[in-house]
Amino acid sequence: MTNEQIQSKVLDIIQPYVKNEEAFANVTSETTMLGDLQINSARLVDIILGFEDVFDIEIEDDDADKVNSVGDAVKLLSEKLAA
Amino acid sequence: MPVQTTENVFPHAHLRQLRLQQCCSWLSSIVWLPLLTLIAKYGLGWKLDDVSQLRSDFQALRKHGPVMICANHLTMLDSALVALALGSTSWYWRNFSGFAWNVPERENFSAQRWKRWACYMLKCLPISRGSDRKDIAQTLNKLSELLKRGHSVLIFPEGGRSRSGRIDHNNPAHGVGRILGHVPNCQVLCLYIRGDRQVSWSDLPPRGDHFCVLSRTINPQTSARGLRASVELSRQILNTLDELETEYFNDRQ
Repeated sequence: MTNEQIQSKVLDIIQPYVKNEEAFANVTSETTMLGDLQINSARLVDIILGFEDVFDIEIEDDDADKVNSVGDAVKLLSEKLAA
Repeated sequence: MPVQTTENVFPHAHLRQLRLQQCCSWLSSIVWLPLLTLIAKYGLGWKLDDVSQLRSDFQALRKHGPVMICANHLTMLDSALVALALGSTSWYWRNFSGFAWNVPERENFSAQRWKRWACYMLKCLPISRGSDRKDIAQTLNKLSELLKRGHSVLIFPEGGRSRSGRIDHNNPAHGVGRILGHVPNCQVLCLYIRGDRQVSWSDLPPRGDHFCVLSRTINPQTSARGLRASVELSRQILNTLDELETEYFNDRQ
């Protein structure tokens, strides 16, 4: 799976939790989930569980800590899928 | 008390900071502990249920390993109510590790210097909800280490004061489950404390109120792994608080 395909799925997963629609419309890999997209921190956990379900992988707490931006999520997922 | 330590992986600098805070807090508690009791009893007129059995249960529980205290959250002084419920001034002086470390929202205490000082002296490790996850992870690691070393830790698993006045499952603090995952055999003392006149959430509990204190000890378990395990463990604690709340309202019908 390419990074573009992963990012597309990531955006599908996070979209329901986004509060800043304008930031989401202009999303880049640097866009932060809590800051720019204004996603509630408790919902970030739901998003990461969503990654686990959609990509059929397991994400540890320490790995989840690395996910601040959309790009971080894509990087983590591509690493997990390659492993 | 059997205490497992991970001194080899926990940064020494953090350990020194925590020891210093514990020491300063204990020394200053000569002033604030009796003051807290006097203000609660005579200034605010709070009356708690008979808590003698709860206190002896809590003391017995601490002898068997780490104890995390998880309580419902309706007012900004809930941690004071928990402290009053679980020990007397003299017991805390002799067993200061039993006076629970607390994790308040940094925003509520960072504006003024005296609040930051009070926070430090009252064994608080402030946390910024929604901030960088690495910062939060560092605080959670400190709490895990404190538990392993026999200290009590108080966390409000609802992640904030419940806006509905009932146990709130919407924004849970999954860090609770994460800590449990790092502390083997940690018991969780679930406390439901509510004043008779506490209709919903507020800054302060009503003056002269009488507080009902319900408790249950659980040892949350899960076969899940990773983040999912943290979520599952947190959910078990919230469900127990839910059951205590149901018991509270059933008793009043």
